[in-house]
Amino acid sequence: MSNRYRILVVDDSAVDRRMVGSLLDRDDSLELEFVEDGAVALEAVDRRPPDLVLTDLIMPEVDGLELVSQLRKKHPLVPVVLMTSQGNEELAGKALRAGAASYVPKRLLAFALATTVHNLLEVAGRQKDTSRLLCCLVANELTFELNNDCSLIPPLVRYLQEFAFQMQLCDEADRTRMGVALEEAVLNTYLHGNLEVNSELRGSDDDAYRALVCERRSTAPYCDRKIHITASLSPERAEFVIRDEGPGFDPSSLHDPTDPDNLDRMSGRGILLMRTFMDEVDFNERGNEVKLVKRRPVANPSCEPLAG
Amino acid sequence: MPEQPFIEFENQGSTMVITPLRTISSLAEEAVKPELDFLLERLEHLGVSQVVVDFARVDYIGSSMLEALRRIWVKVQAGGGQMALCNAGSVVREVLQVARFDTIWHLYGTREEALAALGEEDREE
Repeated sequence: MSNRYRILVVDDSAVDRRMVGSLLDRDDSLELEFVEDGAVALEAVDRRPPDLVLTDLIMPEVDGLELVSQLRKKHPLVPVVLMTSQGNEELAGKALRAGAASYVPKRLLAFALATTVHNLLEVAGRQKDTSRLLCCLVANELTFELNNDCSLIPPLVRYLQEFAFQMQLCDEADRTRMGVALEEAVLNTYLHGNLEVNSELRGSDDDAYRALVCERRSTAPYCDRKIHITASLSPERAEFVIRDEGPGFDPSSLHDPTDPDNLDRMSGRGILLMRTFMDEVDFNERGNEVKLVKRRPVANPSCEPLAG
Repeated sequence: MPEQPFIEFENQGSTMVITPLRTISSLAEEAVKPELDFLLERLEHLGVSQVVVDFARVDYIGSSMLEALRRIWVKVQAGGGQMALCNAGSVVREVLQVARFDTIWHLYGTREEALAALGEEDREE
């Protein structure tokens, strides 16, 4: 069995394909495959995902940007490196934001290509190993108890998102959706649960709202309350239970934020997003605890097939 | 090193194009407030009647961005103006649709389409 890394090179220029080949095929650890366009590349990756895709940016029909976008959705563990010509830096920036792992200007290929490829293969290899390992994880429960300090909320949400993603519970888009729901839930806990600041006040007097938030952040008992989060993850579902130490509220008392008459009302949009992006959202009777459940989509395979 | 701003805005003809540069998380509201207040002040001071909000630089939005959009719209609407949105990725689009904000402002695929739509409506009048 070959232990070589498989690189798929995508370029509509035969000259450029030969150049890349000459730069990389001296390396015995690499096995190269060449295709001429993005559409053929997508088929090739579907058939047998490589360890890395190296692609030109400007190609007819399916260009590098579209290729990055498609691969990010379907094969998020396969890094994509763009080769860019001069004048395409803005497009390269777009591709990086779309999920490309890196880019190498064509004028610097001789200097930078091999190093870039090897660095990414090493990182991607570790990610794949972690992902494979996490696919073997049958259950995991994490419990956090945060001081009512909002600065820890973003890293907490990112951590939970990444954990769920690594366990193949969600794809990239669903990871983002889950993050939106979690952030809204934890924010509600922090602001409306522990600090007891009503979002209706914000609609009527934004300055008074902010002043109240600021005051309660340093006033007992509000500032002493904690945020409790328990995350239970299995290969089939993620469950998050988020609890505050405030008096609770009645979720049924919220106005429907989708009603045009309620456009000016502040409350309800966070819970609306939670309900949209999670499969289940349930409050306890007191209203100070919410359970969010996200299940693995039926269409997703359990684990990404490995290359080689 | 100074942090990147949250919002960028520029005039393109008679239209102000507002670009969120990074996600306006509800947790960053204190940091966003001065920028948003300045933007709202400019909208009023310049008498801007056409606004395009371009989401090309953000992957998602939450309730705080929805609230920011509402506040921008209140200013624009007060002057009898129009607003359009563009370059919304899939999650951004979903959030706007769930909140029914897409029934208030049209979602265009590109900035050019949004600008043209506002410009065309002006010419027709």
